[in-house]
Amino acid sequence: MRILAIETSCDETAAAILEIKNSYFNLRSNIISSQVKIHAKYGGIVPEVAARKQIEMIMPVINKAVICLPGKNLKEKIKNINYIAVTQGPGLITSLTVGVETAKTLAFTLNKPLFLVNHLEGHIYSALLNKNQNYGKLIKIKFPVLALIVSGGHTMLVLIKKNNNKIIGETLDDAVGEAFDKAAKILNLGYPGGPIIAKLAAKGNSKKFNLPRPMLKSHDFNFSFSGLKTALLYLVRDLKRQKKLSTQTIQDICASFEQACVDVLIAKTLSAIEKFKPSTFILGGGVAANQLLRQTLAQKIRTEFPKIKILMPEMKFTGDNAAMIALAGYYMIGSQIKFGMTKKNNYKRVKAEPNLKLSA
Amino acid sequence: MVFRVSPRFMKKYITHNSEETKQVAATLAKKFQGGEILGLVGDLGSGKTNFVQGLARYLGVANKVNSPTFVLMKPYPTHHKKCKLLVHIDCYRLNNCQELLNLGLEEYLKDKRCLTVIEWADKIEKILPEKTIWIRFRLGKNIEEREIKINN
Repeated sequence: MRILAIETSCDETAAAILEIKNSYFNLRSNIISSQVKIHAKYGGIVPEVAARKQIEMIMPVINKAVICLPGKNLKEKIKNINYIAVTQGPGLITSLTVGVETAKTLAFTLNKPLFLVNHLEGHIYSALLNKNQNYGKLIKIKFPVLALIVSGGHTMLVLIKKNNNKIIGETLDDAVGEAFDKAAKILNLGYPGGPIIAKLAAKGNSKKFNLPRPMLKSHDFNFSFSGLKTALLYLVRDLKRQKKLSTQTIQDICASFEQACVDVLIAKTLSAIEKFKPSTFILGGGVAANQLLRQTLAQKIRTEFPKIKILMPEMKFTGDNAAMIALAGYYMIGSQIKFGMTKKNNYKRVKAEPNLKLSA
Repeated sequence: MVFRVSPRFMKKYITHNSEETKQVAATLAKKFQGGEILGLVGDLGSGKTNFVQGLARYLGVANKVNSPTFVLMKPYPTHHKKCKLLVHIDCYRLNNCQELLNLGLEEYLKDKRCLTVIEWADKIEKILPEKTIWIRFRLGKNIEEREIKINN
């Protein structure tokens, strides 16, 4: 079967074609707006407004995604899909609406079933595409699964059983990706913060500055990164006043900050594993690209809980993409209706949900 | 909590921890009739989100109120008699006002059952009505201390 997936939850416009046959997957295309040379093609500056950008990008991105399908022209090619999956939420309402309305229209005109996918569930499934090539056998998941989702908008631990999801802990203020962005802003390093901080941290000493590890002893699985941000703010302010903010110092600050974030994420994950005893651990989301987090997590889980299977997404699937939405959609077909399969007669009820919850 | 009244109807608070910042928010919220608009101004880490969490607690919001930076706007239903909806907006990532207008900001601003709280409101000052209550946050001398000025 062939699934066309559309993802427009935030800044990225993405579409993908995923083929699945006898539990082998073949990712025929995986287009993300930043890969499309849209600027050149449209000869203008892309507006800063995310939603307007989405409207301009969505059709070129979908067109590029379906080129791989058999057929003489786009009209014939797009008829060769079997299902459509789209991100319903959570995310930016205006951006989500572009994707959902496009998917609705396509599903209606092509008369194909439409699946509404939770963006966070997509991030969880992204770990199953852990083949460097774009094809391979789908990994069978052993339940229960504990998933750590870390991105610019979310930081949560989710316990997934066969038929239900439960958020067992989440951030009380800033998401970890947001904390990286804001730390980079405090240090005047640019955007996005995650990769910049990680790069500088590699050259720094993480033990140089003693930053707090918020909520480490809170006896629950919630996170908080706001206090860490404030501690960093005061540290930088004082160092600036003393004129001690050298390149080496900035690298040391980055290393200390990264270590503090990773320490909290890992401590909470390990205590959640201890309590809920999952068979599989999954990491997902944009911050899953952080090497320190990946390596330390894998190493700690392997030593302390050797029986747990660890799944982490390939680097190219850590950010927002449509391949993961396609896969999440595929599992919705398999498990009948999970988040709602809509038939022709109730297309009108389908709409974007900016605050969509993960728990079913 | 230190409380002073300055000649220009400006109330100034010095808070010494996040709990006190939340209490300042609750004190302010006691007078709310619905339809208020709060413009929060201040640097990263100066207590804005914390203040909104204090409002949410006072209004009886059941959800966790965390940073709306990523999605720009988060509406929360409350258990308050008059302010039925707390709309939490963050302009940190914003480059112009249009994006918020696209999200339906004007409807919320006009709605008498809404309490609209806007972080980094100075970025969209020109589209906010005159009745906006401006609240300025400053970092204090030590890591827990904050200065909050309310222009009412």
